Amino acid sequence: MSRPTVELDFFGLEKENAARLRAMEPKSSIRGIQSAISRIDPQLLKSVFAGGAGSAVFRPSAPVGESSRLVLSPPPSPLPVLSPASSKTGNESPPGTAPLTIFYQGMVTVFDLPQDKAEAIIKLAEDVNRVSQQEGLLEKFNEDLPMARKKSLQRFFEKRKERLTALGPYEGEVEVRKEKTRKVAAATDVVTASNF
Amino acid sequence: MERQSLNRVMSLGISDLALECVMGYIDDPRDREAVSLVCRKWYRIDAITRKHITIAICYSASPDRLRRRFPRLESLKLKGKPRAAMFNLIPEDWGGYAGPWVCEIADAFNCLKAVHFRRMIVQDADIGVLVKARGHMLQALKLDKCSGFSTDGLLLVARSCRCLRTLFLEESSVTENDGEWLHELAVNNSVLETLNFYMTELRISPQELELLARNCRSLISLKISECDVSDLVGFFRTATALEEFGGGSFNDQAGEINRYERVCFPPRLCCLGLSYMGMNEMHIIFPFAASLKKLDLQYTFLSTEDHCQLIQRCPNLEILEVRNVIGDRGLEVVAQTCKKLRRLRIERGDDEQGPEDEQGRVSQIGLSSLARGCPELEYIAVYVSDITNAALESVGTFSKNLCDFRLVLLDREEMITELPLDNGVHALLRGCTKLRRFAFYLRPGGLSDVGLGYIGENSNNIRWMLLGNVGESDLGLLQLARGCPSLQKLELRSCCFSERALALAVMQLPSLRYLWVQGYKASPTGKDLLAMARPFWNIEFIPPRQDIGDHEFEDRRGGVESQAQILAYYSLAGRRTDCPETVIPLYPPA
Repeated sequence: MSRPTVELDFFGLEKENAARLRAMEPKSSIRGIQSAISRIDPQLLKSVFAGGAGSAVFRPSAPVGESSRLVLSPPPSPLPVLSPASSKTGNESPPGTAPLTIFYQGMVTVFDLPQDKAEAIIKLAEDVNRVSQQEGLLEKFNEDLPMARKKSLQRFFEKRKERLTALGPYEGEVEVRKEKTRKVAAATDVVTASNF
Repeated sequence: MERQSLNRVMSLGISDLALECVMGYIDDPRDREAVSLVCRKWYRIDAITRKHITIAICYSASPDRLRRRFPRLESLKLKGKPRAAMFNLIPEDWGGYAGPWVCEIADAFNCLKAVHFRRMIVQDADIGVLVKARGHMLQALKLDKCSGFSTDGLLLVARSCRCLRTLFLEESSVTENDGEWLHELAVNNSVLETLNFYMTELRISPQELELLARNCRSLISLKISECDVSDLVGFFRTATALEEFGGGSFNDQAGEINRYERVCFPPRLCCLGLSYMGMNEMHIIFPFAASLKKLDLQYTFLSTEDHCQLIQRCPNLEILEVRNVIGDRGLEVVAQTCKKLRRLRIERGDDEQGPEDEQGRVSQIGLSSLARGCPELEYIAVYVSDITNAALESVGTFSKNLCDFRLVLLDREEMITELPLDNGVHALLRGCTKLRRFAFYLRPGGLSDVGLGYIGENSNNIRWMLLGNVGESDLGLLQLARGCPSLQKLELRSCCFSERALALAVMQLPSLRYLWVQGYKASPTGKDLLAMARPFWNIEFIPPRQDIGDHEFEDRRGGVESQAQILAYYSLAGRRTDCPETVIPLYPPA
């Protein structure tokens, strides 16, 4: 990665990364952040957000490209994923930004960032750790590909269900009640309709 | 003249006739393969003395080519649809038509006595052609998990094949027009030994079965569709040679408590599977439980306790098939009682069943007991709810005769005691050196890339593998592909590998001739797959689809969606010409 100094310009990252992030599901973003941020080099983080814990003080917007300072611009709207839902009563965010809270190794840091910059941080975190990305993908796969059932057994279970719900025309209510109170196994007393 | 003497020298002075006689004793396909490569003469003699051929995927060769290569075949087995069809993952019209093969058989195979079609589409017309040409000589006909025919086709068989010893229709979809076929079979045949229409919906009358038993004194195996067991009393009394019975059904009705007491099984019966049998009827097996060698409880209504009660009476069991309701407790009984057990299958129970499943779970506890208690095991297939490395290590330590191991980790439990299973699978594969078939279906995090590497390094004899939800990245697959020297058939499901990695792996695996994949990282255009394009390698693609049709498998979210599939296999027949819309041949180009 780059040298861990204040000169590092994370927020000069291209807009296309932000667009790509927007396309991702919020769910995996959260997972990505939570597991990935923990893997960011702490020195890197600290150096970028020099100013320590608590609200950072930022300079007003400057043109992109100035690599020596943090560049911010008013965001269209904050990412719901990043901004804490609760409003910060005492603090005032600069116009067009929203708070980003980072919990890291017992340290809590809050920054007021525009949406694209915040997205850029997520992108950085995810790039740092590809494995957690993989895990997210794997979980997605699992959801999309449920374990397939064998045809023969599937038919058996359907028939078992039919037998449990079928009521023979001459069967007494007693049999049915006995059936329903039985806890064990899959219906050893089977009530069926008349046979062929 | 000179050439002839040269040939004679090369055959070490053995005459052709003698060679033919000797080769007649060589049956193993791998030996035959080696023999056929010695020289042209041996190739020719192998060609005319080869008795049986199995074609693992019917599109790998044309019927014509088979005839030219092995004109005197006596027995032919053809497989059509991929194995995944048994799990409702393959479209019904995928292919595997018996028609072209039947035509060739009728035309040219004059010695053919046994035909086995598995997972293929067979029409009445095909059966007609077959029996017209070969009916007088046909001894065995197996339409195994097939579809496309009706009872009319069976009628043709029954009337024309008087030497039939084996008629096998298990799990086929047969259109039912009437029950005439069974009557005709009973009346026309006197040598039938095996009749199997298990897991079909065919309706038959018990009287016809009794007639069959009267006429076919050699009947040793009968597996049927649903028919109340109490109606089979007459049949059982008549079929005195019977050794195997499967199917039937039990239907308790009020007022007839002793309905099944009259049932008296034939004296030599040692293989049994009774459908819908419950706790109340179980005891009718007790009198001969001790002589049972094979028991199928997959389609019964027995609880964990019932399994324990029954199995403890079966010390001579060699083959056992159950659902996971048997539980760890039942497996403990198996371990203590069934010392001769060679094959054990533990299928997945119904998720929706409530109280039954409290005990109905198999875990590392049951698996470890089993490995320790049953050293003769050759085949283990198990759906587990929980697992540890130690349990797999136990299998590796104690199950030295294992040839086939299949483990599926169910997805119902959130927490598994110990994952990943890298070390366990390592120990298992190192210990079970005779393993030829291996399935390992887990969940994300179940096996790391290192674990896949272990599998690659320790699978010297494995010919078939099914892997699900394994590995972390493409690296894992590539490590697997560096090993597996004997791997011929690979099935991958729900993994994270890219097309590029799949293609690389295919090119690296030295023995691979068949690949099936569902669930992978698709490239934007799919063209990364073509990195594995090579001569004689057919690549087919089944695009993802919505709404499969009648047989939708469970999907917790309610939607039915099927992910894309890749099927690739070696073929001498070139590109398929009978693909349905759902199958897209990618290579070779048209």
